[in-house]
Amino acid sequence: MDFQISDLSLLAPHMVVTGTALLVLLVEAFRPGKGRSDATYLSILGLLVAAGLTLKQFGAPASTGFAGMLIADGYAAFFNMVAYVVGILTLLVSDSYFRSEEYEHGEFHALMLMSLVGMMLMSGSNHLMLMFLALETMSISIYAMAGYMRTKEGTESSFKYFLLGGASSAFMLYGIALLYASCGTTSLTGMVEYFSTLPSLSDSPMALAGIALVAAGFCFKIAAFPFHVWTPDVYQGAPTSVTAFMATGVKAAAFAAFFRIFVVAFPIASGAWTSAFWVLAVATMTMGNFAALAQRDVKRMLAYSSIAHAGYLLIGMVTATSEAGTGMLFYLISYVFMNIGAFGIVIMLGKKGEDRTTLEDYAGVGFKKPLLGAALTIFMFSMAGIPPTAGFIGKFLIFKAAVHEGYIWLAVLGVLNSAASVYYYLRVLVYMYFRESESESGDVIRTSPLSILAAAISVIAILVLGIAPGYLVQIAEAATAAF
Amino acid sequence: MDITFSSDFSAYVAIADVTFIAFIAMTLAGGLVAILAKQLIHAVLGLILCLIGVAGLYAFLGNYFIASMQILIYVGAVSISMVFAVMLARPPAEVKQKSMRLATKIALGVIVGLFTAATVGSAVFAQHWSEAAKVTKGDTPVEIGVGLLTHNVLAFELISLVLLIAIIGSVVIAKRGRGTGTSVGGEEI
Repeated sequence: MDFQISDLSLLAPHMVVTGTALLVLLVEAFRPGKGRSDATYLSILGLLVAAGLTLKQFGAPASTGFAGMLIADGYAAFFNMVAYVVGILTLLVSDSYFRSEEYEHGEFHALMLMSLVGMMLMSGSNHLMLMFLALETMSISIYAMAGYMRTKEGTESSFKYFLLGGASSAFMLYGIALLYASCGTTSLTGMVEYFSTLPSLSDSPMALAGIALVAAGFCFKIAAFPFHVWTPDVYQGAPTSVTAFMATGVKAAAFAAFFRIFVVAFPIASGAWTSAFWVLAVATMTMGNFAALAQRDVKRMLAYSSIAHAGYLLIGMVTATSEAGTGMLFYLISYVFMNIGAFGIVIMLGKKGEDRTTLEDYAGVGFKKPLLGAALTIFMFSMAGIPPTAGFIGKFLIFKAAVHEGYIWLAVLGVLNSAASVYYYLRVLVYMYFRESESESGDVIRTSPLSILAAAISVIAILVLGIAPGYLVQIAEAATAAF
Repeated sequence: MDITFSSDFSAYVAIADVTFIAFIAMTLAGGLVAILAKQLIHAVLGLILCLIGVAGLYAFLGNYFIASMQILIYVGAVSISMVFAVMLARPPAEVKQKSMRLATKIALGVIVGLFTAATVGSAVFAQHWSEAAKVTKGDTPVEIGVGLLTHNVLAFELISLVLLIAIIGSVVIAKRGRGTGTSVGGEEI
């Protein structure tokens, strides 16, 4: 079956976002200006229109298009929504950053929107070739965004991410090539058909090697141990709003494709990859949490914490049931709110030309800026997984699914890890509320109404999802029911 | 023109093997030169050698159209623009390498490389190979064009987006001092 005009309806949200990116570039060309928010408003408008189009995909039967390459189902629609949330929140928190740094940001917004298109296609790709191209669409934009400010650290961050990201893409591509050589196709449907003819995977060791290399490529993108080494440097050096975008958007999109590909196409090798991911999950959680304990810099601490969060999410990959998928979806959306929210506060507490991100800079913030302090408190509680926040429900759903499948030790190790993580999340609060500020410079902060709006949205979302998670859990269950 | 083959194919197989290995060696050697060269221009020349080797592999596999495109686009256009870029740009100042832990790094790289090669290699050699179905289409420009605009149209369009991102990204990265109005490195941009 070839391309038909009706397939374009599946692509409508993607086309709206791409069109918005091009429009932003045009507007920037004709009405350049610093400190203006035209591009921000236009981008948000585009994302809202796309969200309206995506709403129609919820509850509709899954349909494929473009010769079976693209799939539109509840799962893809859910992750498209996650992408819009990531996009809108990042745009809002970037606003105060770009105002204070007096940078023109039209190209930044355009790159970010096109990166979102890549993320949206990753969750909907039913073909490894499309998935890889979508991954590159997402990544290449982010390489440029990380170096956007042209600071020394930003350039270093961008270059490190580019080199290692290129190497990981090469691994993944090699894996896809080996899978193509053994299956004769790279479409998920075709690979399922091929694997169903094999009694066991020992008849096709090359396919197993391919699966392992594809897994390595994904593990790089989600920053799982031992592919995490780039994370702290890249996250710390990139502009903070880009770090928020990378930590949430890339992780969500990579997990979306990771889960779909492994659960749909590779169940034949599940014995091999569940035990591998078991080890990776435990190592990633433990490494991330223990390294975060030692950090004195909040941005770097959040980088290690994002590694730990990847570890918790890997528990869902080990479990690999639709119940675990529900947990991962819920976890990822709450992670988006708490992480971008926290990075938004980090941005607002900095000042022009200077990111003040050491723990000492947070001393006394809780009394000087009570609202920002309270918001950061809620984000930290949610990351630590303390009720009544969304972070708690997310962890609960993932651990519950793991226990149901008999991975009791994995769940126990996950709970122990989140207990250890409480220490470094709460240490930020200790500095905010129980330490006297030594410098007076804490009074100059960069806020803008839009960034405050982002923090407010995140706080409300975390509390609403933490207290009344039922509605979203139902949506997530419907989205993963097919797996 | 009639070509008569001798009934013994071993000579042809040997020639084919030698050609194949020669192209592989050319690709690897070019890659090594590209990485190890001290002068930027040598690295570009190494890259050209590498790309010609890849084109040779395409030709070896019987896909002459792709092979000629590889030469035309990568060797002819991309590499030549790189040569221009190298000639127009100021040569970078000599960077002193910290050779302190270089040996450790090389050792680690070799270990990881050998491990990966051994794993993938053993998997490939353990594979039960069966003869693939004879490919009857796919190497003429018409078939490639039809394929790109029918069942692969989404991937094809996405590549154009990737290229757009690459262009915008390189402009963003290369355009120094954007928005701040300052000059960088004593040059007015």
